[in-house]
Amino acid sequence: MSRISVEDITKIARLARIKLDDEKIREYEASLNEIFQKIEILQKVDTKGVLPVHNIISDAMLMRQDVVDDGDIKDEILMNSKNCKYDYFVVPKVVE
Amino acid sequence: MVDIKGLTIKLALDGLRKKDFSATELTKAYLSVIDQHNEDLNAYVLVTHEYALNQAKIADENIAKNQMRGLEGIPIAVKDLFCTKGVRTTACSNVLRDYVPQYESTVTECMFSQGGVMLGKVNMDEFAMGSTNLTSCFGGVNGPWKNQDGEFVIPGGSSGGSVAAVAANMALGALGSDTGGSIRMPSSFTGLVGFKPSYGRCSRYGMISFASSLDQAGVITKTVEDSALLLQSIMSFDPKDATMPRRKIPNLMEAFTDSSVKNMKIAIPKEYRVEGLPDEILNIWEDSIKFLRDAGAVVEEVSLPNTESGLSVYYIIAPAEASSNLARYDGVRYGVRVNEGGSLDEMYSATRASGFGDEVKRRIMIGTFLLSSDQYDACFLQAQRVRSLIIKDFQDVFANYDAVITPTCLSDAFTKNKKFTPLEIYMNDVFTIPASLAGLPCISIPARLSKGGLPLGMQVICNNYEEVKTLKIAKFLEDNFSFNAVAKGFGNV
Repeated sequence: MSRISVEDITKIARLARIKLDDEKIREYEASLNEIFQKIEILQKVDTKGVLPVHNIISDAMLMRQDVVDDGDIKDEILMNSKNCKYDYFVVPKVVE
Repeated sequence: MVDIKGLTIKLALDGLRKKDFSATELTKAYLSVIDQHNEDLNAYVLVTHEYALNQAKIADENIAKNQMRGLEGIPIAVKDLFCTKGVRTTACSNVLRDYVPQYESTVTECMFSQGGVMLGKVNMDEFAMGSTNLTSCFGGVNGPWKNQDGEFVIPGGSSGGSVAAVAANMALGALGSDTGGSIRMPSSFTGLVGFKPSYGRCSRYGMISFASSLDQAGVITKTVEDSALLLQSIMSFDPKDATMPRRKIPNLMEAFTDSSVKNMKIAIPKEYRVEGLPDEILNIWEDSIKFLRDAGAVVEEVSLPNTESGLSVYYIIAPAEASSNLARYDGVRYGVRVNEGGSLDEMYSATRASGFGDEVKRRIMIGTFLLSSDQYDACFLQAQRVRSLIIKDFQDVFANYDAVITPTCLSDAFTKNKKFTPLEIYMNDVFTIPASLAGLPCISIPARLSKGGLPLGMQVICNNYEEVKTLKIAKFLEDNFSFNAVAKGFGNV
């Protein structure tokens, strides 16, 4: 893993939808590089023929019937939104 | 007033059964300590007086009818990442600062159904990301332990409020969560028992997500037996969590029917003898080995060859899962919302910038980068392969041994003024992370005080679903160390 730059941090922040000022970008550049340097030791581990973990429990994942058992709570769900109208969540206009 | 000094869950259940005191009196006694000292300690971020007294009243009715449930009338602190219906739940993040869940987490629902009384919601690192409790949007926890200079030390984290509440006599037990050590590490720092069961023993439904393949609920108590009583009440089989094993839930009290460890085989992993481990920590480890050998157990050194990779694997997988889990905080359906006037994207970015603290942002950034198409194979998949190796290391050892025993932490607790880089803080978890990566049951028990007068803990790790064996060995060590120091101040005055 090569050293990540200020441009990389800016790109990551945009992908993660987190607005950062220049000072924070420089701070994250330093701390992320330190962390990435540490985790780089994994590249040296021989994992030829080793399968990646995809489920930590050995049993197969459980299936259940998709039935509504807690419906009719519209008001409680909308209660936590900062902006809702006519039982919809309101967001800034996305279509010009 | 009920004398709560020296009280445990077990003794309180006896007292309630014998009607020495009522559940209401007991609850009031704890609420009174909270009201007196919480402003200084900052363990609780919300105290639920009325809620607790209502539950205590129901408990008293059941006791009067001789219908006591497993945890009837026991006052418990709940980590603020378990959703509690109608009671504010924040994960100690500004992004959820006024969030009121419309549903109950399975863990709290189970505890309530066994008669447990919720005193309130307790402090934690924001979204459980940290090992100091300093990243909480409500500020850190101050104590309750003090170092030799009389300064408060941090309780550790992320379940810092949970341990502080129990250590300061503001609850008889606490619910916590452990992703890479967040129950065991703070328990070690505060002289308590912290038990994380096998991954999947407690439902994750309603537990605010950090890293889904690692998150596991658990308990913090004063004694090993108390940890069994409290954990028993929150284990369940829940169809709402698809990652639960189809295993019978054990009767944890079976661990205490026979205290003999004779002929048990105990493994000491040589890779945990890291450079710079203080003598006082090596000593509690050596003493544990001696206690076990004297009692007829076979103790041998083993190798867990991929231990050194554990920390790196964790700091790839946990942030990767976190970056995905925390994508839901967009300011639309719940939580704070900032920049109403901008575009949708600007609103998302401003909301997340203002709602998340620095450490949470850092981990989202790490995770986002590691899951990007350029890094996914080389970093994320490689980490999941090395995780397979770490799991295999443990399986190889458990084929021949009953348990692995190690210290819980590299040091005793430190003051909040001690400066660390983020990486140095991550290093705190180096002894607790491997068992989390493998989903194993593990417990920290208090052993001795350090030279600085602060608690040091030992960790017992067993094979998956062997909670009973974990408790049995922990009880043996607890009896032999006979740790009885308490934090000075607050509820112990």
